[in-house]
Amino acid sequence: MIQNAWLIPVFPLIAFIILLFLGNTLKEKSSYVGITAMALSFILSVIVLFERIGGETYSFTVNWITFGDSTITMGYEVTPLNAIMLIVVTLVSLLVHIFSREYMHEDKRINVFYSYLGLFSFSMLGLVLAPNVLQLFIFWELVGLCSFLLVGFWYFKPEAAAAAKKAFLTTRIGDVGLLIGIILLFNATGSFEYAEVFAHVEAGLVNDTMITIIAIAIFLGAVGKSAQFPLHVWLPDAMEGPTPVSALIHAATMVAAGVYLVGVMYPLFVASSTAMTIVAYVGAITAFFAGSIALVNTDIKRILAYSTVSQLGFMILALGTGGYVAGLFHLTTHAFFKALLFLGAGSVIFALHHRQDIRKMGGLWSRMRITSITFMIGALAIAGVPPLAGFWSKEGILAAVWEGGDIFLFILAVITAFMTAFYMFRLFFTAFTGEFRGDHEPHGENKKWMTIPLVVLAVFAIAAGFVNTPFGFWLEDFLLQGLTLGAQAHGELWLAGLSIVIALGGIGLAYFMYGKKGTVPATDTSNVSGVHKLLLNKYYIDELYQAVFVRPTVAIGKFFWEVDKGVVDGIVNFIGRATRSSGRTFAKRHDGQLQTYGLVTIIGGLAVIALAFVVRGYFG
Amino acid sequence: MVPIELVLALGAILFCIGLYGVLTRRHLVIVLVCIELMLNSVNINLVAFSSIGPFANITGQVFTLFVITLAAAEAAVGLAILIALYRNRESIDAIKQDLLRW
Amino acid sequence: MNINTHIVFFLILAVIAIVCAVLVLALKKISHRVLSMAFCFFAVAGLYFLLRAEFIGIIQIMVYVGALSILFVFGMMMTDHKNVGFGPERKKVHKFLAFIGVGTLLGFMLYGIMGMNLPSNNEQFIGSAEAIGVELYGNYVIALQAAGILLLAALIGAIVLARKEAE
Repeated sequence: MIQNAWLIPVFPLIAFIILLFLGNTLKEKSSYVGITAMALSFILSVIVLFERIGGETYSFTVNWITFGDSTITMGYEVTPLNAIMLIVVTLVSLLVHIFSREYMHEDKRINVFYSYLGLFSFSMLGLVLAPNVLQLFIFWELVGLCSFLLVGFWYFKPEAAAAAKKAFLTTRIGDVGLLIGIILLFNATGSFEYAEVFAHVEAGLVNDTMITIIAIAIFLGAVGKSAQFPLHVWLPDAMEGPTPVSALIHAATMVAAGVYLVGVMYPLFVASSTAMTIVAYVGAITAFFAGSIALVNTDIKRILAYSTVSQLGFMILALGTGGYVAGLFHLTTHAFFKALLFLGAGSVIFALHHRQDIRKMGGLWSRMRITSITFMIGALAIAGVPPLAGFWSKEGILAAVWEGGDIFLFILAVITAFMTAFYMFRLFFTAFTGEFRGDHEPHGENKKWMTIPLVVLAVFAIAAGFVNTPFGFWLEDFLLQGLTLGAQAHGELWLAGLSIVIALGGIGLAYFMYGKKGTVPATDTSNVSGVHKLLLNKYYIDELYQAVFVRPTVAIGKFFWEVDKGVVDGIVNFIGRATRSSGRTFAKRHDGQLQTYGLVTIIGGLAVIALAFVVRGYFG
Repeated sequence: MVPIELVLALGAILFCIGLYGVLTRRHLVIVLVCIELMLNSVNINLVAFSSIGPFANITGQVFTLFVITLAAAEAAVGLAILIALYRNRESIDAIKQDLLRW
Repeated sequence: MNINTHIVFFLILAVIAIVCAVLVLALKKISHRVLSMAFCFFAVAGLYFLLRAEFIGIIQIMVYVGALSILFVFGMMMTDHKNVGFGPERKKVHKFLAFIGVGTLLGFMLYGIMGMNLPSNNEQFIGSAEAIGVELYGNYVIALQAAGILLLAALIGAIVLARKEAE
């Protein structure tokens, strides 16, 4: 079956095409088409993963374009890394498809929604299967497009339209970097194939400065897509899209594509210590920075969004400090529990008729039991409580950072881990315990279409960590096949203890601040000051960008607009007017009279004869 | 024998009279007549060369026949057009036929 | 006939042809103009006889003086009713320019003719009908067929154009 891995992205594509043409007739039944396609993809992915565990890397390519000595190929390959990614993407996508059936069923454009989901799943799976950078880049842009379409799905809301635009433009900055990196890479190695590129790099055929530049340029793409500082601003705004979309694209898969990109290009990064340092610092700063914003936010989806940015920073940090397996392990586990949290939030939002402010929630524990329990499991997992998935992967990251030797990064990581536990349980206690404070009673637990995906994801959030524990590093052995990265850091016992203490400390603090007394984050935020105010305003990053980039750009645009209106338009209008008036003048001569034309012809002919006569005599 | 230059001059004069008529007369029938005059002057030239030219031979006369054929066809079609024009526009004044104006 | 007689006859015919051609333009009534055209063609036919191209001369009389003149008379009769209105004359400038232009052209042509210095040919070529026939059906047979098709096309075309519509 591994030879048929190419079918995995084809199923969603077929669903997309079917919905494109028949969507309007299928309407609500569109969901079955999408769910069936994703189920097939998921089953196939599972089979492919098991075959890959027992077998070799499979790759299949055909020549696409040949120019000079270079050949660009297209095809697919199944490596350990993307075999796991296939499972993650297809599983989360399948569950989101199922969840959306209920969540979106009142929307008139549900068929369009499902067709976009199909297109996204196709693009994401194509990205994962790509055997060369160029093909990856094509799908990379496609997922960006799908993200744009889905964030702006409710385009009639001005915030959604603005958020879609912001997401597209911000990631574009990173994409340009990635494109430059790819071009430089091709220039330096003459190939797009991963294997050939790495062979070139390892043989020392590319000079160090160039490797650093290429790695940083490629990393820029990851920064944009994975919403790392300073391009993180789009992801919280992207929460304007439907919640299942946030779960699929902006938590589990597309934003992880940046991390995946670094993972795929890892040999290149390893070859440049400067690049690795930059990667590590960007990751650490992002993790801390986004985590601290999440401490004070009160919108359930935005808290999760900042949490996502923070966790992605963790993964990048791990990769930057040499924790290849730790980073990708966290990518996998995070996909499950963050999708779980988002879908749980979606379930809550759906029950509360699209209210997202946690101050208006409370007391949901008794009203929505399944959602609450699964949400708590997700929160425990992300906080890093053993033996849930988040504990194992986060502990691996802390170990990698410790081994990396930079004490500053380690402190940042520890603080962030503490903050993670705190803000998640701040959210949990505020929203799920205490008294209900909203104005609209929820209608109770949601239907099975919504709860079943939650339960499945909860199981994964509990169990996914066991693939890579000190009792057996199966994932590590699998991922490192065919790679020469050296030993991976493993945490010692004190580190495990430390991370448990951090997690429980964060949870405890949240309990004492919000859970025990049932206090609510203040509604009135006008008189807060100092750090709190800074955090509430997200470090004024949006305002800074507004002042530094947007305003000057608009001003320059206005200036050139004036220039265009005054000078360019003036010239163009002058030419136009001159042409028109001269045309009008000459049109008068063009009077439709045959005999006038004849006369002019005769005079013209005579002029030619006269000229010939003057120049060369009558008979030449 | 007549000097060939005189015959050619006659042809040129007739041609120019015809041309002037084509350019200035308003009655379209007369315009057609003038075109016939121009064709005739060409015939005169052909016959002159055929008869008293430096390389006198029969070809010029053969071509004269062709030109006459052409002139007959042209006159027939031209007059048919004139009749159709007259029927549709109630006028065969050259000045009024200016539908193609700007 | 000696050379002088030739020239005298030529001059007479030439003067008739030119005068008639000018009358075509100058006369007022359209029927007079067509008549004057017929005379002009007749004089040209006489010129052909003088040039010993009898067959062409006869054809000229038959086609031009006979058929074409009648055709024009028909055309004139079918269009030249009383209610045919004529607008203002062509502008003076137009006429003047046309005159200058055509005059210049004539000047160029006459200058060219006078400056040609053709080698003289003292032996007049006599084109017989037989020679023309041999040539027509020999060398120019394809052109002859083409001319036939042209005439056919003109015949049909003229009928289609002149026929009343909506019948």
